[in-house]
Amino acid sequence: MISLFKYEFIRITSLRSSWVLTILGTLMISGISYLALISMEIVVSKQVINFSDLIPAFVPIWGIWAATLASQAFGHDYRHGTIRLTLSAFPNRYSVLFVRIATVLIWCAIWLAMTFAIVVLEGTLLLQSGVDVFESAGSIGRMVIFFLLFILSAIAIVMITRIMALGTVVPLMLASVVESLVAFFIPENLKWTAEYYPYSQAMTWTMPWNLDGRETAYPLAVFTGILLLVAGIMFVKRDA
Amino acid sequence: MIVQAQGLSKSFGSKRAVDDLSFTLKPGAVTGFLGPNGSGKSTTLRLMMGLDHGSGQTLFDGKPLSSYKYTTKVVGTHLDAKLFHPNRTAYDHLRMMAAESGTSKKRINDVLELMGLQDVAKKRPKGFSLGMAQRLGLAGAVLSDPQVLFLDEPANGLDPATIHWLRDFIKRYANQGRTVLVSSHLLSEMELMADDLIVIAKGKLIANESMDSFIKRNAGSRISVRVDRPEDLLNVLRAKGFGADFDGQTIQVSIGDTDTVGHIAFEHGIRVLELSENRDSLETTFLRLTEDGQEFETGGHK
Repeated sequence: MISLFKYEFIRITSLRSSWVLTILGTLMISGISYLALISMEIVVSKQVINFSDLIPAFVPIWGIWAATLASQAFGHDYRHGTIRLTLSAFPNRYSVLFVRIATVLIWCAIWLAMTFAIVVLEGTLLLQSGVDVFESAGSIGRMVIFFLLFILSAIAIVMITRIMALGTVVPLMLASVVESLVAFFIPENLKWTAEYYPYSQAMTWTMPWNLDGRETAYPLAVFTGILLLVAGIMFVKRDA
Repeated sequence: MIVQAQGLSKSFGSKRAVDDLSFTLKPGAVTGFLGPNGSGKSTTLRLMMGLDHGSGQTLFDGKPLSSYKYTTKVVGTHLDAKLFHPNRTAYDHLRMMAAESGTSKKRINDVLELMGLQDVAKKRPKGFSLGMAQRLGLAGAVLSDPQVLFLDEPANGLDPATIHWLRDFIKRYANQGRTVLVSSHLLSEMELMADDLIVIAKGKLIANESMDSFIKRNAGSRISVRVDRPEDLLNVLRAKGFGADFDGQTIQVSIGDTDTVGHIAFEHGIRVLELSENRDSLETTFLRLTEDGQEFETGGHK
């Protein structure tokens, strides 16, 4: 298992695109948090800003960036046929599946933690009283769960379709366009289904405002669970 | 290490790609894996590695591959010339592959040098020629010093000098007591390289025997004889029941051997100017045997 982790770690870190994505994502988060902190200080005149106030600006960026990283980590192996090398060296597909998902999640978790730290550091440097993280623990927890489910759904989509781009595009399109359009055009007697649209419900659930208590991450969790189950079966059963 | 493929079968829809293949690979020998395009060679290799799902099993010294702790120390594979990420450097590609068996950095550098890739080790292989790509694939296959090598068309894209080097390398590898299975379309190369042969067509086994035995059993041969009185010898040979034709210069005898034909000429006072046996090459034999795989019965099992 350790050798498999090592293999996966080298597989991700030996590609320049992994680093380019990680660094660009970090720079983007840093820049946006800087602008957000400055505007909050000027417009709202708040000296102490809760971390949760910044979350709406970051959730889409964090999600898309991490989904791209995760899609790449899985998709490259299919695109270039190197899945055959992987499975020749490690015939136990369950282990490969587990370690690959774990490695991607670890990579994304480190990146998420690093960008959290940068935002807090910027707040400390720009604001007199800094950014309060402890007051926002609940919001941060919800965001981490959304982040996790978003990545896992991207991974599952790549594993099912074996098309790297779809891992980024499908969750993004569902979250930002498709679910809203469906909710808008759906017949009146089916409007209630909007409460079960996975991405839009979960995204609203992460926001510190606009909550009426009905939004949850359960639809996304169930949706992701089903996708992962299908993807896992296909990973084990399909020819490499 | 003895490799036993037992009852390998695989279908794609209604097409039977591999049909109940069973054979054994011996250590210390290079086994050539021959078959026309689409005959199921690559699918068979993937089945043996567990990459494709089908029926049957492959045992390495009596055990399935998954039961070994370090798979890449058991079998090294080179299944496709460009099985690497185009933007991962050659060195990193090997470093990644070395992770499974804990192969040292020194071994990585040694293999890069062995394959003549040391100067491009830090380069990304997207710009590699097919020959360089093949060498990187081979480097990956031998990296963990495996007991068994499966190579699928390793000579494709290589120049003559590199093919010569590859042939020597594979033979040396087998001579160390390793088991080597090589598929190739370069039949002349296979004739020089392989000790044993597995021939398949349309997924079915046609032959599994030594190269000598295969050629002896299947290759046709003709005796070519040039004499001072060809008409006389032609009449004598035909009278004795030999199939013989005269092309204006030499007599071609389709059965018998050089000794017999020489004796007959001597007995009749005919002076022999030239006498030789022309045996079909592996290529001719292979093409004849595989021109319609379904017409041939499987056989030749050891």
